[in-house]
Amino acid sequence: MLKQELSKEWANNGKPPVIEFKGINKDYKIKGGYIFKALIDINFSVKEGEVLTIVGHNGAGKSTLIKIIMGITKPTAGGIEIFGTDTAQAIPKNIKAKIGYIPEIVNFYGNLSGFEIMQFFGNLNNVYNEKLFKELLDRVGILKAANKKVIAYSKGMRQRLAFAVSRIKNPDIYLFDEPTSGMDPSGINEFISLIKLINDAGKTVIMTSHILPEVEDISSRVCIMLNGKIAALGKIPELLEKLGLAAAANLKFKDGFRLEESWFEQIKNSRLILDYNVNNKNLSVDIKFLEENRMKLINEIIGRYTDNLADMNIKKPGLFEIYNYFSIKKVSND
Amino acid sequence: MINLRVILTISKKEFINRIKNISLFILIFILTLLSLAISYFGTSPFGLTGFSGIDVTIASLMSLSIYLIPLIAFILGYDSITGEEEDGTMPLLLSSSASRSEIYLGKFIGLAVVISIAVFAGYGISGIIILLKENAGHIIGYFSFIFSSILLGISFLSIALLISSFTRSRTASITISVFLWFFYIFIYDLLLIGILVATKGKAAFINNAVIGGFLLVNPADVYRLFTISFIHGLKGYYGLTSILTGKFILNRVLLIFVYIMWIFLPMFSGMFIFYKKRY
Repeated sequence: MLKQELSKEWANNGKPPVIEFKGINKDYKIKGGYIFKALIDINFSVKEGEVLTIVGHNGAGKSTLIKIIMGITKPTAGGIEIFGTDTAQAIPKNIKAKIGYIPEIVNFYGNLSGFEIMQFFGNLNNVYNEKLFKELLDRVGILKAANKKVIAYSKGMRQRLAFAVSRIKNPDIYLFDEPTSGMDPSGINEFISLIKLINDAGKTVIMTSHILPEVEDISSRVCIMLNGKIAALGKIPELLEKLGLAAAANLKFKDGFRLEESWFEQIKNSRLILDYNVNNKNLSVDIKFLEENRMKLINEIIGRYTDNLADMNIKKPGLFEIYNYFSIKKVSND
Repeated sequence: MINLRVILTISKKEFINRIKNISLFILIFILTLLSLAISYFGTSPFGLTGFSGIDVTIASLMSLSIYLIPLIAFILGYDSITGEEEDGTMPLLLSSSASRSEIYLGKFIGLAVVISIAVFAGYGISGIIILLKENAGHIIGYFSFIFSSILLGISFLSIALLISSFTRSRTASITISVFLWFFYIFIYDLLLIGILVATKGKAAFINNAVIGGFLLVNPADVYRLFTISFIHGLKGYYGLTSILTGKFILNRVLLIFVYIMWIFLPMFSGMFIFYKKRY
């Protein structure tokens, strides 16, 4: 089974850690004297310039972890260091100045306009450059609505405004808690582009997300959280390999072709594929195989069925499959 | 290190937010209207009608202050912290470079300015009318009364923010605020009088110092004592308070100290609780 200690090695890209979690635990007292363990023994570090995506079910502890970094909540036990400073009990102003944050639920003062919000947060961060505020609003595509009261903004517009606000102090670390929730598909794509942009500028990004395929391409590493614990942490290809998650292919044959199951049985026995399922009615075959065998398998199929193959779809496993692997495990544990 | 510009930014935002609140204007209007009415008819219990001199008018207005100003302060401050938490604006505010102390101080100052303007506007208009009928020399006495009333508002505002800092919802905050308002304004003095009547004032532990000490525990009574101590003509109009004319109670230095404590003690307590508060 994957352990976070293993992942520490994978994360070692030679850059200094900007955040280090040292045995973080967080308990919440709930009614009836019960204790809800939101985080259990969290140990890992985040390197400078990486994009770490934290995924997990509702209540897995993702947002709590983000809030602990931001100093909004305090760990019950354990320590956290940001840029080498212990921030577990209180986060100093000079460290806060290096962190941009978008909370899970974004709400602004409704009676202020988007531009006034920028001015307000600018002043709080000792930034008074109105040209910069306009540029940041323009970058997220809401400059035209800058003079509108925020109460009239859609959820997506508020997220964009929050992104602009988070950039005011030009922080080194960005914390995004479900940043794309409530956004339409084009908004999500734009947001992903913006994250790429800030990451290309060398900024560290830690975000939680439910929209797995979109964040897959930009994530340096992913952290899968289950019931307050880290179930897995690492780069997606490494996790796929560790977990032995298979790619899937669907082969569709031309009408009138007579499917021979024996060949599929043969390549299964030779471990070129992991499994197969023949559908004679549709003249199609679903197969599962490991990524490392992809090219060899394609060559074999093309070599054998060049004249009879009508279509072939290959689905690469990714973050969704990794997450699914653990969420199925969670359900079976529950 | 406290950043004054940050405090000013938050104060300004808090001020603008509150002055856009129509209920505040209604309260100021009520304060103005009642102050005018009380100035004219409020002296009836003393057997007088019409404007009957500055002292008796201030004595009547003080009663109005004790009911209305703490209420305005609680309405202004009860959701100052819990409101931001419930509305979801607190996380972004906390993520800014502003420290929690700066946020708290900014809110306090912004609201203190609002209540100062509210009291000044509420009593100022009636003050002009009253002073037109009075000797201009009384203007200092009337402004002392307004100043004392502003301090009353700020002290209750300080309590309101303290409540808002340790509660987790607007409902809890308003419940405690209403209870405290009711307790300080209606119950507390009744309890003291009840003790005096029950013991016929003869119990060994009841003396001016003890009663005086108890009065200092209620900011509304401190307001009464403070105002009386600065406007000498008022002494004749107050029952329980006027009994306590000994050196201990009307020692101005002590009263100023206690009044200031009623502002700063809840304020620093609230600031500390907010500093420690986690979500």
